[in-house]
Amino acid sequence: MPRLFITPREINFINDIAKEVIKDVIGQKIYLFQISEFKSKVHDVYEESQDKVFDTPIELDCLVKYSGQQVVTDRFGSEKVFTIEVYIQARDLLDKGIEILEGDFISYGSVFYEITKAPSTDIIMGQIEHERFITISGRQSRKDLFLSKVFGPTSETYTDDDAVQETFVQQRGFKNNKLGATGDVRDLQKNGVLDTPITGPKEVSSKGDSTNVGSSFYDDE
Amino acid sequence: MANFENTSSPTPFGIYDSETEFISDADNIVTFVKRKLGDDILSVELTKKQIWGNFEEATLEYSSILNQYQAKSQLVNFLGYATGSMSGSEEKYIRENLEFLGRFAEPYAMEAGIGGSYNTLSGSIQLEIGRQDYDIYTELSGANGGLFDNTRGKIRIDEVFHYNPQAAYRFFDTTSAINYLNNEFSFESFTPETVFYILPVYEDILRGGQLDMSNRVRRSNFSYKISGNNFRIYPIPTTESKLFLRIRQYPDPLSPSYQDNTIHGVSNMSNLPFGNVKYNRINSIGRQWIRSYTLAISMEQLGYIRGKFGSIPIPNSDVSLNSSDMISNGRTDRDSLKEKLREMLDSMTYDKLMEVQSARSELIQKQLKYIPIPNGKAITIG
Repeated sequence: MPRLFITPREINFINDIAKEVIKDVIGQKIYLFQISEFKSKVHDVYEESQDKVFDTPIELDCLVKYSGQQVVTDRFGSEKVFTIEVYIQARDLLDKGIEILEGDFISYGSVFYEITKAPSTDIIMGQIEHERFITISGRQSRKDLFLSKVFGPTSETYTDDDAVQETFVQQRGFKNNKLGATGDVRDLQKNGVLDTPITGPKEVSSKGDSTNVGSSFYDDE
Repeated sequence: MANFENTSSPTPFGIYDSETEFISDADNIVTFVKRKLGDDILSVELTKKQIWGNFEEATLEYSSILNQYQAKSQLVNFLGYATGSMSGSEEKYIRENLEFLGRFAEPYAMEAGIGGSYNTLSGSIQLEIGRQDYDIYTELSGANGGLFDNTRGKIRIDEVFHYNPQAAYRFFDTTSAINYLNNEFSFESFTPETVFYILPVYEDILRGGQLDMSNRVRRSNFSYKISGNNFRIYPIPTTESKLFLRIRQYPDPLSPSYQDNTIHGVSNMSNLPFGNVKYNRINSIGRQWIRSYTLAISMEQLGYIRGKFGSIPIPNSDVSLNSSDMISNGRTDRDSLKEKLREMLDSMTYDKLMEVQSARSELIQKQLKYIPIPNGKAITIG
């Protein structure tokens, strides 16, 4: 697309729309566990770290392509393994100052995945300086390799408080929402092109359901 | 957050920016439009200035349509009047006049020689013995020589007359002026040719016309005929005398015989001195129309914004925005609002109101006929 028509303002518009779709409508998220190079002890000879230490996990809004459990059979028997593909908006990572590397871990549901690939996948409207998203490919990590608290939602079969996500809160460019800091930036708002929404982020929760048997849209200020 | 009052140039034309009620409604209209378009849940990519611009446009549109219909009702009374600063006559319930009719009747009056806006000219032709044909365009002259502007085209002869008749005579008949005078002064018994009729008043009026006709047709020995630019006199003159002609030329419509500034006054809808209707004077009916229209054009505008791209790239996919729906619905709403307003105003032009009142009167009469009235208690008419 010609730069005559696609200016930085259009790029911001596109990114904001993408953020809106991912953060305010779809609401999928993963938790990223980045390896701390400073805290992990590296083997003197192999220059590998057997016991990796991770920074505090970061919640990331994303689109997830869930592949389900696959069964791999070889001469030693069968092995059940999960793989995953996650798409994260490049601008959102940039706003949050996050760089995802191979070897980092993510969790989605109750499963932890080791990131095998995290390439930048596309650019916006042919403009090389504007990355569109990165695609994270992950493979289920071995259970003894990674130990962490599991963050929900996980499964209806569990009884943990956060096993089922009953509340979804939008971000809409606000620094904080009801759940805490969002880290969300909408560039059109930030640059003063658009005003902030006339009302704050909305939520879907049990508060919106008068029968108290599920969750629905909740609009009381 | 910026509001209307502390925003510089909030609207494109700034026509209503100082009206207090417009200012307060402008802030509310942002919430109205954004909420109607779903901003509570998902972003509406419209700036406040865009919405304020639409608000102003809606008000101007309302004002324009209203003025158009006011013009339909009132234009005839404003024709010719000063345009002034092109405003100040809007929203007025004016007094009617018949200047328009009078102006259109003027040419007929002029043809009949009883009025009009243009002077007739008088000149004379010097008759020569034995010569019948005279060129009106070269030989007709006024007291100081030239009589008319040759560049102004064809001339029309209204009257031809002369002094010093060859011979004059008048014969008495039952309708002669002498007879009439005798009647007036009770001399009727002394007039030998009188027949004693008792006549109605209109006979006197007819007599006036008859006398005038008699003077014109029968008084002179001469007659004439116009042929091209020649004036031919009958019979062939036997003496040298002057023939007087009263003529006129087809007039310059921009230059009548008197100073007429109305020529440069209001001539059609475009220079009617109708300014914008004041927002503070628009009632609740109009304001609701303006809100709805603002919403419709904002919706259309949002459609254009979202329609800049066929689809928006998001990670690993694309989303199509509802641009075409926005444009289509906005346009439909906008057109529908205008149509309804026009229909409503169509039924309220002064002509229509007169029709309605007339029909209403007839209906009332009709209803009254069916009301039983006790004998002798009332009188019904019609």
